[in-house]
Amino acid sequence: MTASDGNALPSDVERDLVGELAQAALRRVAPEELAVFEETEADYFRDPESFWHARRRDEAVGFGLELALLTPYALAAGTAVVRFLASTVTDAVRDELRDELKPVIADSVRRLFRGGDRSGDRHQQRSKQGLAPGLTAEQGRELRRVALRQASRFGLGEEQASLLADAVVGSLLVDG
Amino acid sequence: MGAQADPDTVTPAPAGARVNALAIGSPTTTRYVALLAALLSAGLFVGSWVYNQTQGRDWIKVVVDCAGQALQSTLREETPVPPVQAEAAVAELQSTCRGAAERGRAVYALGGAGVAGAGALIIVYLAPVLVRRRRRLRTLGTPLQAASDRFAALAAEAGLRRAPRVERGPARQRDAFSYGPPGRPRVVLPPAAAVRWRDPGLFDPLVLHELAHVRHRDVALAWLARSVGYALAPLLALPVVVGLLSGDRSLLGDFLWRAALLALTAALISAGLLRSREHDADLRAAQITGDTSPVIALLRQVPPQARPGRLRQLLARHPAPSQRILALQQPERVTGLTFLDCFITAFLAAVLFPLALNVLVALFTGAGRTDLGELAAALLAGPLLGGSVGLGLWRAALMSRTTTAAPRVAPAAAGVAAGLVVGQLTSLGGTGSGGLHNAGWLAVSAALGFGATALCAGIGQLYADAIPRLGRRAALTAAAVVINGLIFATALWIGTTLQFLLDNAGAAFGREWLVTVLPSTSLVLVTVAALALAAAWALWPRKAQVRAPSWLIEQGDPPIWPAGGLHARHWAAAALASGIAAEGCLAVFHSIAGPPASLSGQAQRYYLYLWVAAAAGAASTIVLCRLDRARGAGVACLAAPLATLTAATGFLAVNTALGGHLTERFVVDVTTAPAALGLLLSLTAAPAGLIPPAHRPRGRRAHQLLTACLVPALSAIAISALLITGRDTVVGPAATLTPANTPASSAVPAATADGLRYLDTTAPAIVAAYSPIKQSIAAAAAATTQDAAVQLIRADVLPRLHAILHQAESVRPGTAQLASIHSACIAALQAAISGYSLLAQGMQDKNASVLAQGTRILHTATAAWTQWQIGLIELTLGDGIPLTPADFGLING
Repeated sequence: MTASDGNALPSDVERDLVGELAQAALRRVAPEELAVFEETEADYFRDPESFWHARRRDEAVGFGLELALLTPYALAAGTAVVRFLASTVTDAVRDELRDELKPVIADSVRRLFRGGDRSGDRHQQRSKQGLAPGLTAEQGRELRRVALRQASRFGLGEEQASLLADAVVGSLLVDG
Repeated sequence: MGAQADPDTVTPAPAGARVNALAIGSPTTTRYVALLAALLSAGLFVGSWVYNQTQGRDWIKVVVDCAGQALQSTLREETPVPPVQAEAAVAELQSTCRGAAERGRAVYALGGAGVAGAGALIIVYLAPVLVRRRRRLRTLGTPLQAASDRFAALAAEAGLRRAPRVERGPARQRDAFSYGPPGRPRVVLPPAAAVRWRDPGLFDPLVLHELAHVRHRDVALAWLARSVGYALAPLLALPVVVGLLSGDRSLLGDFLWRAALLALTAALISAGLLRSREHDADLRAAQITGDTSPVIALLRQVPPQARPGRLRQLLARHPAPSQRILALQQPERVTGLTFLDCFITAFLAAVLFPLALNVLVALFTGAGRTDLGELAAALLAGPLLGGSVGLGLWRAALMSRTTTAAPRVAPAAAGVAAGLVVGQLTSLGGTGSGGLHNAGWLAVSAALGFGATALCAGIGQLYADAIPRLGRRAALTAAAVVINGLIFATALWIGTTLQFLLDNAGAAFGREWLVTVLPSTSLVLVTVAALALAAAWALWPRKAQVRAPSWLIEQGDPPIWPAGGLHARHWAAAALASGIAAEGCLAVFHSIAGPPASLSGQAQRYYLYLWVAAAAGAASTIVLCRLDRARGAGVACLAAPLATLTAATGFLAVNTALGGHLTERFVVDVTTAPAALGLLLSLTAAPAGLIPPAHRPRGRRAHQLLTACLVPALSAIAISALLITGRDTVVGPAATLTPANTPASSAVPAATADGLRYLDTTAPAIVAAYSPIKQSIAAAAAATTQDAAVQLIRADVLPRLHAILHQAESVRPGTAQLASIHSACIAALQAAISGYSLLAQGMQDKNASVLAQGTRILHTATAAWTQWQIGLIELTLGDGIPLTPADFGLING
């Protein structure tokens, strides 16, 4: 397990969480992309910047239409959301304890976007309200803003970015 | 003939039927071939350059030795032979002697093109491996097996016998494209498309578009063009590197700008061709789908570029989405030819032509048939123009029958004219030689290119009329390439030959070539015959009402096929009237001027007849072009030879009535020669059909027939009268002409005859007279005493020298170039007299200073004598017209 500097989570844990979240979102908006999800995810994490800075190619004997996968955007939005969640959890932890507590924080985040303990009255009550356990309504709105900002930042169209943000947050807040 | 309507009453095909713009071959395919040929011809240049660097000196030595040997062999002839036979013998000796060296030169040039071609093939087969690795392409794989299956199904729908391999790129790949070596194309889909194989609105049109590229062989053509470029770059760098390293930069500047211009234009042309092929691929995809909507819907997703710059537009490989959608909605839009389309092809043909000419002429030199080399070069470049410009004009004519818009021929013709001029000016073949002395002569090629385009458009109109009778569309494409190829080959050959002659030998030489060499050239005669036959077939009457061929209509019922143009009785009457009027003028001239007084006068009359009979064809061409506009040029392909034949028949009748012999050979000569010259005149007259018509009141048919007879007859009379009165200018003064009934008549114009006479008679006489002087000088040098030597010089050498000088001074060379050569001989003889006089004086007076002065002057005499010998060799090389090595192919350093 490696720890990424400045991040609240170890990078491989963060990657797992991001992947999980992105898959959940794609299941809602672009399920056909799941067929190539693993290799797209691997490509993305190898060099995320190259996805956004690839120059437009005017291919000889091509069609001339640029068709992008939604997966990289989902991964980018997922990364931002996971980091936001992790920062929310770690805000409560003293600085000097953060490194030792990273596994604990990861568990907390995982619980957060897996809906936590799905048994119990409280969970059921929050699910009825459309909220993940441990997240307030304000935090849910903030998460959507984060996801939307990230998707838009990399050039996804307004409509698609909005759909993706909804899907990301929805996969956190709604079961299944 | 038959059911053909007046052009003003032509009814367009009813709207509703969607035309199949891809029904006949695309002119862009030939344009691609032209690009490849032009690029490979740069390899010819590099090969020639290597030869000149490594074998150039040896080649010059061989050429000079061969010229000398041929000259000596002529001098050794004991029985004098007529100039033409002597010239032919010298030419044959030279050709045989130089054959091996010339073949070597050609082999080096072909080797250069071969290296470029082989390099391109290696690249074209290696590049896919590199592309696959570098761009991390992979098969669709198991997760996308269903996408592979759908792709295969679409490939079958697209009519591909074997589905190309389908691949996908990494996640960051966004556009589909195709690549691969010839015969093994691969289609690469972006993952975003591959995963959406269930979406028929996205996957199907996208894949069908790529499959259309495969079906149209765009992948092979585009990658071949790119590969030839890559292979050529290091070859073209060779002269630059060698020039820089060796310090010989004499050719560097001239070469660099030509090579840079070729590279830039090749890049622009390549991009332009790709853009054209995109329209075809869109149309094909829509055709397979049976509906334009899916492709249009997909194209609407392509974001338009924000204000692309002009250069970016020119280098773009895809047209703007709006243009693509427009082309799908109105397919006939993409079948028109623009100025730029035609400029490109003509430019490429003109770039290729001189380089191919050099090699082919060198190849045929050994066999003594350099003329075959010239014709082969024309037959190489002509079909490139015919298959592109000609086929494009035919396609446009065909498509225009389903719309109300007439094809625009004038911009296409202007494009060809401009392309030929710019191509000739910038061809690598002109490196080092500087091209023409007077660039104004390029107008000859431009005019003939313009006319050839108008002629192609005209005959294209006839074939558009006749298309319902043509069962197979492949036959139309083949006919277009062959017929238009012949037209352009002839125009190119005439244009380049004529402008070379005018530039190097003057207008008098050029006009004599027109009536001596041109009419006997097989290419021109074959073209006249082919055009007449092709026009006759197309003008054959058809049924009153026929429908458009089903292969031309993509959707909807085939409409009634419109026909237009003059009735046969009109154009036939115009042709006959022109011929009769022209011959009538000649008969009147004969009755006024009486029979010719001399053989030269007879020659002038014969050449005048050729011009007048040919002008009868030109008169009918002009009139038909005015009456029937662009189509008139096509009708003239039959009408003009008919007019000429009518004049020839009249000439034969009058000549026989006046006591002339009527032999089979004479009949053939008299009828074919003016027809060949007539084709040249028709080429120059055909643009008359492109001039916008003035308002013309529609008259009754009887009135039209009268117009069709009277106007051509009056035109023929006017042109004939001009020719007769200006015969000394057009044909040349009688005194300068070689009689038509001598063996020289078919091949030797006056300037050549003058040069050959000098070579065969004057120079050998001077050399022969000088021979005993050399013996006397040797005797004086071997004399035992100085007094004896002085005695020999004064008694023998000097009187003989004076006699030769007198003989030489009595010679009056006919041309300035010949006079320049001869002046060297006179200068040598004068210097020899001065030198030997001083030598004798110095020896007698024992004066060393006088002796030294005499020796110096004798050196001058030797130099002048050598100069004269070089002049004789140049005269021999040019077959009577002085030519330097640079004039006949030793270019590129």
